[in-house]
Amino acid sequence: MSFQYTQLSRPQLEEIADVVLNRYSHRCSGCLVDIEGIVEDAEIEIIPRQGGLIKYVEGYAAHNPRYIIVPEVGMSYSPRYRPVVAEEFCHIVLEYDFLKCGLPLEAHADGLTAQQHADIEADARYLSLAILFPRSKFTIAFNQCLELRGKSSADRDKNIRACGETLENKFQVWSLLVGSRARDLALITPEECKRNFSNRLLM
Amino acid sequence: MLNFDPNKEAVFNRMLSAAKEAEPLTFADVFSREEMCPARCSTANGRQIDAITKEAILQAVFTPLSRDD
Repeated sequence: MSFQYTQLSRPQLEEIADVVLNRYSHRCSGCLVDIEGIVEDAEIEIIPRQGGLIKYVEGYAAHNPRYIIVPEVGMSYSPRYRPVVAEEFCHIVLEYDFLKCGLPLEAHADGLTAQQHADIEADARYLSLAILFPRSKFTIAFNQCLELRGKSSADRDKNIRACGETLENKFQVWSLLVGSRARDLALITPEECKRNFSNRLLM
Repeated sequence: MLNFDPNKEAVFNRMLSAAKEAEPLTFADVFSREEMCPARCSTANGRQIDAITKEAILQAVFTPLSRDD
């Protein structure tokens, strides 16, 4: 039987994020979701390696779903490192049944069709941001920040960028991904996201 | 210091000496290539890896850490 991956809807992914956040609520403090703690509680080990690994990947979930491998050099900046760990954790959550039984050849990272790859990555990316930026906390924090900035400047674009930086500190997640989550939750438009964060952000 | 009696201390010293002389385990002694194989990767711009990159990743992962040299 050939490998099939059915992409999940955004409400389904938000629901999975809620389940994860409820289960590991002791790992959430204020705006910070301790993803490394969640990974540890899930008995998954993060293995830092060197050997020029950073040239190829920012991190990966191994065939044995107990391991996430990361380039050691990528661990030094928490707001960039944490989303990588979160995304790999989400791959394990989303495809645990396949991984624990051994991935069939056509489901290997280099054996997927382009569409399968795109669907799998999009789901893991969305879910990882839904975990790192819990919907209600993020919405409140973003809107409060924008409102506060709006009192001193009428320049919405400038205020959006400032909120990206403020929320990067609060949530300890890269500002570009603040923009991505704000766009996903319709707090800013896709155009505002492109203009103020990056047009390289995957949709 | 460990409050051992002489017999236990002798055993401890013998085992400590054996441990010091033992060859340290390498990464490859602990992990197999199969289990370390990348299943899902975070790459720049979400690019999919090919078989050549997969092999390069494994080679990098099994390269001994520089601090172990």
